[in-house]
Amino acid sequence: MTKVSRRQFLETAAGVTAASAFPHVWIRPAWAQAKEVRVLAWTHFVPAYDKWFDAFAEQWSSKSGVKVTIDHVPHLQIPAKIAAEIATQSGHDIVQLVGTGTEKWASALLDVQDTTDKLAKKHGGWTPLAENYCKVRSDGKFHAVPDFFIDFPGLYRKDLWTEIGMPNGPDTWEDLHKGGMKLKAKGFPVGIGLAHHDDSRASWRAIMWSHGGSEVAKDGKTITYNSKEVREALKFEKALYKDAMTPEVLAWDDASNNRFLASGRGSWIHNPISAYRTIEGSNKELADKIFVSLSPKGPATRRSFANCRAYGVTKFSKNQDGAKAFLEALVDSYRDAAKASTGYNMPFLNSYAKPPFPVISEDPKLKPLEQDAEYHFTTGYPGPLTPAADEVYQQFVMVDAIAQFATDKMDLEQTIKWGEEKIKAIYAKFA
Amino acid sequence: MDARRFWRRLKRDYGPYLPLSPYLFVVLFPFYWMVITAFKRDRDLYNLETAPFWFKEPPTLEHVKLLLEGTLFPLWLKNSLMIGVLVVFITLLLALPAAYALARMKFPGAQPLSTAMFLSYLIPSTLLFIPLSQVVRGLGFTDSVWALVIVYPSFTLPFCTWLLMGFVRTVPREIEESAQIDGCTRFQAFRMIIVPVIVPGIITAGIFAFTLTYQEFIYALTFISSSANKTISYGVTSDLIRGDVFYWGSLMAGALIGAIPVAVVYAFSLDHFIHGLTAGALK
Amino acid sequence: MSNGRELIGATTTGVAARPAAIRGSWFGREAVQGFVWIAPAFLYLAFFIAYPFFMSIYLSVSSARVGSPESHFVGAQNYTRLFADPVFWQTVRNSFVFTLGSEAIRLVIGLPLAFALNRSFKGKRIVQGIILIPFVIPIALSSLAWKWMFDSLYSVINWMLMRAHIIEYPWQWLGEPGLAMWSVIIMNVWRGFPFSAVILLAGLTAVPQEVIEAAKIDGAGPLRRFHYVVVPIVRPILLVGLLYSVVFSFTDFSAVWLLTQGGPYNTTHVFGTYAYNIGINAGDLGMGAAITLFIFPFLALIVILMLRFLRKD
Repeated sequence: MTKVSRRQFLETAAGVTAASAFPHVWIRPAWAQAKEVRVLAWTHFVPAYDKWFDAFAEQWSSKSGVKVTIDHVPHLQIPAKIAAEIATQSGHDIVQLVGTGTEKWASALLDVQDTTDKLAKKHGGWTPLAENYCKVRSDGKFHAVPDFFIDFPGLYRKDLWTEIGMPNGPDTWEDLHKGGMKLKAKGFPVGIGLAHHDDSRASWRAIMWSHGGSEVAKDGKTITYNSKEVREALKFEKALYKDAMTPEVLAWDDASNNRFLASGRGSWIHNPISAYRTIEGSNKELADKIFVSLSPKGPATRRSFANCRAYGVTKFSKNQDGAKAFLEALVDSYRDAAKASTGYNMPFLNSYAKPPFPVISEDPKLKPLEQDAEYHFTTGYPGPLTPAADEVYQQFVMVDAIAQFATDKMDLEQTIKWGEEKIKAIYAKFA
Repeated sequence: MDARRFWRRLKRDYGPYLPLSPYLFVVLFPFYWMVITAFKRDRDLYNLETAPFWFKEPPTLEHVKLLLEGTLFPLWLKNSLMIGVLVVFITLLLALPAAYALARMKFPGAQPLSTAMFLSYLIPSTLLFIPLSQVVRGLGFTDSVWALVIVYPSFTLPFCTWLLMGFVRTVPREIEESAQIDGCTRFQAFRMIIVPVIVPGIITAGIFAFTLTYQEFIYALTFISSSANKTISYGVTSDLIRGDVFYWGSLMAGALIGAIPVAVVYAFSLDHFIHGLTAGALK
Repeated sequence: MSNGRELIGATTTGVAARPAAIRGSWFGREAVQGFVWIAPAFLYLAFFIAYPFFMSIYLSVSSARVGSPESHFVGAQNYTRLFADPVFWQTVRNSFVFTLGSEAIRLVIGLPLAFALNRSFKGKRIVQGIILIPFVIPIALSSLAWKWMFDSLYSVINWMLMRAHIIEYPWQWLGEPGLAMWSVIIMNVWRGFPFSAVILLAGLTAVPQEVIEAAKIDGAGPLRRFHYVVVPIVRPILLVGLLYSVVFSFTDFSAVWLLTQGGPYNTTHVFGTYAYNIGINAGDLGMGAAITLFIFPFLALIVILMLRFLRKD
């Protein structure tokens, strides 16, 4: 019958086309190539860095005889990839830890103390932030090689702030509030995202810490959300939102504040210099008006948030030595990397953590960034970066609390109660 | 008289456009805007002053170029289409005999099995993807389009089987029985009678399956790493969002190029699709 | 005589009895044959659905976390923690609102469109193609397009509405709590209404003109015609289409995730996105599995209600 033979024909045709469509699949070898190292890394916010990184990997590959391939993945997709790889015990040899801390992955990542000791010896030791991020408390060893951290200074429009009498931008959060109010009236509000993305959970923590408040105490266990300082911080945050920002920040993502500044409308954002670099590339005259200031100081102290990066070697890697060697070479070349990143990558090694910094120290505009290593801390501050602290970070508890309070969905006491209960519920999981 | 006939013909040939126009507007406006965005220069695009519906600065092909040359988009498109076609085949290959057996044959457990088949459609892929990645790994398919080809039928198979069962039931038993009297085996009756009659149903099931496959995102995200093996959904969202920069022009171009060929195919098979659905209702 | 009811019957009734005379030659091997025919499909399902499904159930009653391979049985702990979590209940509510809201609007919009497409006119094929475009663009990509259309700064929708003086200040489509849910629904409706229209169109074409004419002759008004003639014929087709569409919305992950990631403050979290955030981003696999498992009973509930409603005679 015609219908049947047509079907048979189509089936055979499909089979043939299928086989010819994916020839590379048949040829590709399995992951178990001892002379290969696969790296899972994020897509760097400064594209120039990735170009350098890929070139570095190629050079190292030819020198060492071990082939290094890097898969760049948007940072939001990295957790899913790592989760699937750990579940299947197969995948990349090196995975980049993007902001989450090492402790929660400790049992899946190799002890790399030997590599980190070598680097520490050569470069004056690791900064406390690096140790916090990569040392696992249960065995006191490094389970990831620290690479760099991302700072959050203030980027401001010098022309606009000069008009209102603050030519060097706001130095304290209160300055930001007052100045922002005036600028908003002129049509140039400030902006800090208040939504489910990285920038939000960084910036609002910086404000909270600067007011002396925190989610948890130094011991990493006692919840300190229900405190006078946090209440002060919340009240300030609400005032800042209402007086100096527009509701658009509730819908922002990691790219929004960059666009906000680039549109010419934004007068101040809290962001690493990637935003400035992008504008430099597309709108030189606007970029000339943008300057960098320290992350503002609060009534208690000056604190900002460090979003950290480190590389772990997976326990299922078939080329652990090759991986470690590559990482050692990479972190050794920190100066070149920092240069390639145009000043975005901040140091974790003591000898690099003081001036002169590549790029930053050479540009008078960026000189304030030299101090960043001193006052940047990360999730869990003032305690260590525990898995519990990380989960609070992942679930956006801080951000949701502030958003609900700032938009009048909850009053102060309700917000404190809501936040405290949620944090306690999460910490209880790790007790 | 001529005028009246003219208006009547106008009404007959173009009448529906009146009620259709709001729909066309709602569909076309984002589409038109996507087209403009794909060809607008970045300076023009990120300018709050200019109208989004036309060009202030002359249009540019740079976004399309970035899409076609700077990423592996043509390869992703090929992957998506190939995976779609293969998955439809596998699905039909498994679903047709199963649908026939469940709808026509009497054997222990037929009833609970067909209910189980139906219920498995309700299990979402977000639940399964971690354990499923272990299964896929166990079979040796890591970072490969084949991983998707073998995994996608898991959400097309239940629905298509259930659908085809309905179509099988619409074939009058008498025809099969007379074939049996003539000496046909079960399989011959299936092949020569049932299958040809339910071709509209097969096409319908195929269209559903292809749509589900083409749209899929999370399995692609989980099982694929290298750029060369990505599908459209995953490739465009991962490679055209670099850090905190969304390459909107190229993203829109990607969405359009990914959609248009498929839309054309759907437009042509729409009549069969509708015929298929109605054939299930009428006899 | 078979009719549309057969399709509904597919879910519940078994195989009808057959004359004894014929049963003989095929029946003998039927018990075995049946299994042979269904074997490939069910083997596949056992491997790729049943096994991972039971694994997920195990995950949901364990303390599994992404980083640690050892996990232990914790009974209903994940579930009790979930019940105490206000965000979870918000997620449940959001999922229902999202799915049912989108579906209802799609049907309402789709019906007039189906009527319009039921006639032949010049350029119909092109119009059909155009109307289908939203349905055919992969949802990950159309979500991104809508994200840009709803952008807090560059929204083209705001631009139009403000120029037309319909609104005075830019709306935060993805930032304002109630509005964000509407935005997500709008996008879901946009990409789904072509399909709903096609389903309804199939239903309309299924009703033979003679039957309508007969009803007209019998003196039935349009409403009665609709209820007693059109609806029973259209029901099975509607069932197929609705089922497909509702399941697609209820289990959705990428649409909401790409637009709002569940924000602002969890007002658009649906099962898929909340489970992903907890299970993958925060690393609590056990709880993530528990959240996703909840899709199942709630969805089954919706489906049963749909079946019951559409079976009413």
